[in-house]
Amino acid sequence: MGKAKEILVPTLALTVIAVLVAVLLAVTYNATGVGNIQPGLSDEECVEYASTVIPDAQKLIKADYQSGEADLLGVYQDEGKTGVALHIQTVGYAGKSSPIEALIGFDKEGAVTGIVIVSCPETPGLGTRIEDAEYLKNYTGVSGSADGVDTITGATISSTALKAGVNFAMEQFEAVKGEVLA
Amino acid sequence: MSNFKTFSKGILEENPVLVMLLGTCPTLATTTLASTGVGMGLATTFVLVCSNIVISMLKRVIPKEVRLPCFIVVIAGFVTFVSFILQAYIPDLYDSLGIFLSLIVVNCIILGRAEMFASKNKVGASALDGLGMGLGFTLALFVIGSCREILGFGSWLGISFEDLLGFWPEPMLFFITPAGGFFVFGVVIAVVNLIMRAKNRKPKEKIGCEGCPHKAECTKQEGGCDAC
Repeated sequence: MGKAKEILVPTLALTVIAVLVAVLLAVTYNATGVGNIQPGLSDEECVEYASTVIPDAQKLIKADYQSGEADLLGVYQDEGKTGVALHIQTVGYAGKSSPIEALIGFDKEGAVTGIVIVSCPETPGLGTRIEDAEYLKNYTGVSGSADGVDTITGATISSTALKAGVNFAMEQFEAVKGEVLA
Repeated sequence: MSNFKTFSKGILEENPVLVMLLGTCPTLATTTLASTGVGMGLATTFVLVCSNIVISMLKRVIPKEVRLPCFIVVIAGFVTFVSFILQAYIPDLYDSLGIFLSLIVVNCIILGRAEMFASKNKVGASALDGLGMGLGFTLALFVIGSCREILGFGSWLGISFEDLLGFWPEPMLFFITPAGGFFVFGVVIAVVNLIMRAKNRKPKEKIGCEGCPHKAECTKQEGGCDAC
């Protein structure tokens, strides 16, 4: 009896505590609605961001374009055909599970008109400096390849990732333009 | 020990980070900006107070053999609770704390207080102890974060000195890097030791029972310091 009690009581105590904590967490989970938080951006939010990177845009809509590229998350075209914004992701310092997401605007000739970083899980204060408008300005007007744009000291990985993202977007622009700008 | 002493010892005298040198990992990782340091500190304080209260209440229910798993389950429960709340209502802070939020579970300050204090003292005293230790942790993160942000970014709590004053020397990026973190950490510990010396409290000069901040607690229990 003594032996059985020695084993049973601790087991039961730990089980009861674990179950209680699990129940309380389940209640919190439902009450806060954490499960319903969508990981990405909605199309409406993207359109809003896209309008900031194509300055001359009249009315932006999401283009019905399937690229087959996993890193191209969406294409937003202007009904006035002034430009196109590509929603892309690129792997930075935070790793593959939480990539940097950006919307990159192009004019008809394929020159960058603006960039907005919509998700930046990089180190606060270091990698997040790629979001600075002052830095993103360096990309404006660049076309063909972004290799000439400087990276940021102390944020080398994040800014190199952004540069790779812009280069990827430039390649994608070539593929997309015939369809959405014609 | 008076209630006030129970509360205040965590702020300076037994500061978990600067005197006991616990929780160094989150201290260095979340202090690149003063604001993330404070966010981390407050999240930890909340978990510390709650877990101290619950563990103190359950101290007679929890069998000795499984006390550590029980403490961890309670602590993990509160950490998950905090992360749900932050994710739902303060997503910016949730993003900036990242993995370190869930790592509060294994923060040795919390388990340390559960084992050293809450499992041996009354609920009220445990809550005060948790609050004091938590605020001491928050204060340490705030001071280290402020130094690193001011020197490394030329800003404080997100306010740039250059915008404010019109001029400011080029910030020293070194202080944002891990090496700079260790440097600031060491200097702050030295300053705390100086303060303690000025207050005529003998600073800990050697590691061992005499220098251990837990001495008063340890010597009370069976086996004394050796059991510590």
